[in-house]
Amino acid sequence: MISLALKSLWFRRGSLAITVISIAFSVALLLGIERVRTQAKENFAGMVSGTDLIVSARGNPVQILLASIMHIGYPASGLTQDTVQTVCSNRNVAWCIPIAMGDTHRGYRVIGTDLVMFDEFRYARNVGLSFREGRRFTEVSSAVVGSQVADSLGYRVGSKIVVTHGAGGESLIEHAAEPFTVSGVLAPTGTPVDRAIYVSMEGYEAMHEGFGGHANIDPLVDPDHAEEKSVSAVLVGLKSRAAVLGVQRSFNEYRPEALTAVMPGDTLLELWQLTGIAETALVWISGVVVLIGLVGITANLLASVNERRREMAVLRAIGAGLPQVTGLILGEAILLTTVGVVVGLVLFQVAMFGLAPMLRARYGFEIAAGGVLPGEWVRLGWILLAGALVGAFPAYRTYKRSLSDGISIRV
Amino acid sequence: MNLRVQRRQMGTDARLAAVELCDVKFGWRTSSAPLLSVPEMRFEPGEKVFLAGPSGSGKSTLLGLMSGVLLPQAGTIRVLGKGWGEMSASQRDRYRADHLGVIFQMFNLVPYLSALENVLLPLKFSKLRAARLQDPEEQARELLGRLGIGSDLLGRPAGELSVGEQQRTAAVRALLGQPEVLIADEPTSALDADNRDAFLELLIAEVELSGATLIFVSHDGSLASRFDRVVQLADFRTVAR
Repeated sequence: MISLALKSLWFRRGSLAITVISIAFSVALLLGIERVRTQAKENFAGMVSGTDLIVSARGNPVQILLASIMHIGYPASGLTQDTVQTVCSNRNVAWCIPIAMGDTHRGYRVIGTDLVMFDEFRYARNVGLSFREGRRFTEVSSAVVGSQVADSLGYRVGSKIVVTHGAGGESLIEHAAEPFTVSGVLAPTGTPVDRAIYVSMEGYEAMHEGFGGHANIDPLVDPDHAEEKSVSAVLVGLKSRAAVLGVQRSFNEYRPEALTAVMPGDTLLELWQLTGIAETALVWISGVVVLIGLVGITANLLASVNERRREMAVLRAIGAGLPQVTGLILGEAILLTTVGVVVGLVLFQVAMFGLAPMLRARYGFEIAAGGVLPGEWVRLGWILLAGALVGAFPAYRTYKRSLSDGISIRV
Repeated sequence: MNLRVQRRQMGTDARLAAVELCDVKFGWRTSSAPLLSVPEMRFEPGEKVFLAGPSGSGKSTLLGLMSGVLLPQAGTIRVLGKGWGEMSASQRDRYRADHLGVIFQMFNLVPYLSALENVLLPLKFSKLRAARLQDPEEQARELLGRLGIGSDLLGRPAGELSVGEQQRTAAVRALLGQPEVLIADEPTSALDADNRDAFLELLIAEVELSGATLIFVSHDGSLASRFDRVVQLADFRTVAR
């Protein structure tokens, strides 16, 4: 019976191949969409990790996160040196990274920070920053650039950078007197770090001091305390994660200045929810893609059932039982789906390996190329089950027809 | 032992009928009047019977009943003394494979198998018929040769054979392993006159050689003279279609 089934499949290999290919494509597309979706979420959530709190002047948590991590917009105001001191010397705090922002260089953020950044900043699954070229800034006038900045502006170690004040383009005042020299280029991270230029806090302030007269046009910082309030936010790592709620409260209740301490993980997820519609749309699209594949199998099977009506009656007359004849159709559906899923899986892997480097290089989008994630196995299982269910319909039709046809064939 | 009991039950005739129908009623819906009603019909072993009837006379239904693919609403149908109703579905399939050979009007063969594979196919479903043959393939070749299917055609997919060749191949398939009953459903109607006569000649010769019962259904009355007996199917039809 098996060899008979195989010969039958071989006989119809042309149209069956098309069915298998259509299933394979929908499986590959489903897996691809799902992979991109989950990885996008992971990438997004991995923009910052290991940072327990972000402390900034009182404001909206999402806005603070957008400004300090994603470099979109600015915090409402800066923090005084006293506040930064107090935050960093809290007994629960293991490390703190001050961040000053407000300047750009050819569209890229210039961020004043501390060397601690290179030791303690973490992204993705607890990955620290590493250098593609050169090393940390050691002097007031040296700068470290993100990989994308280096790539698009052609910077290497030794390149000179002239900083513009404000987040706009070239039109604003240039701190021409204080050019920075690139001391290092960071390895790609797939996070906003790639699009930033890091200088020391002293360098950042010196840039302003050296250009002292301009402070009054800074709309973001209190003109009278421009230097004093240059720190926009502080990234804080705690000695123990368990203390996070208590520390958050203590910062939020800090008297001398109104502060907001943000837990970045939670806020990132909150932000991700905003993109929920797109995510849901992707889920639906991938569902529909599989549905189309399954409809393809059903259509093909039903057509072949009609084609094979006589064959079935002949087999019945020769002595094949109803279970055998029905099983032939059902088995075929399962086999087609299985082969389709396997081919689709291969297709998916090949595509992922082909696309992953391009995605990483062009969009800084990290995608795990190899293997099959647990959730994906589950999906594949569902597709197989659906294939069997889809096969049940033509199989049932064959069954009913075999009953009514008997052994005679109505032409 | 079992056979003797059944023979006694059958009463009057000491000989075991090849196929026997008793008070059979059949309709597609149980509620409506039966389509077919056969009070009694008997086919003796080795008998060659011509079942005559125009199309729509319930031939297909009758053949379905005789081969145990359809079951009647009432009455019994026995093949070699064993009633279809006594068997489970899978037993019926086995019994049919063991004791019946069937030839259709056309499209007898599984198109993706070669002529030889088609002929050998029933042996996969019937160990009994396979056991009757010492060398199935050799005997299949021999029988095919006698019916004019040369060795050059054996390996070809059945779909590539001419209609006449297909019908002869189907006859070989039905005969191989000597099933006791051969049912032929208009096997000649797709053939031209010359082919038809030649086919019938060969079929009857082989049936006589194997001693099988031949139930030959046709609307072509001119063939009836070659048979032992003619049964008019129209007599059993109860409802006009």
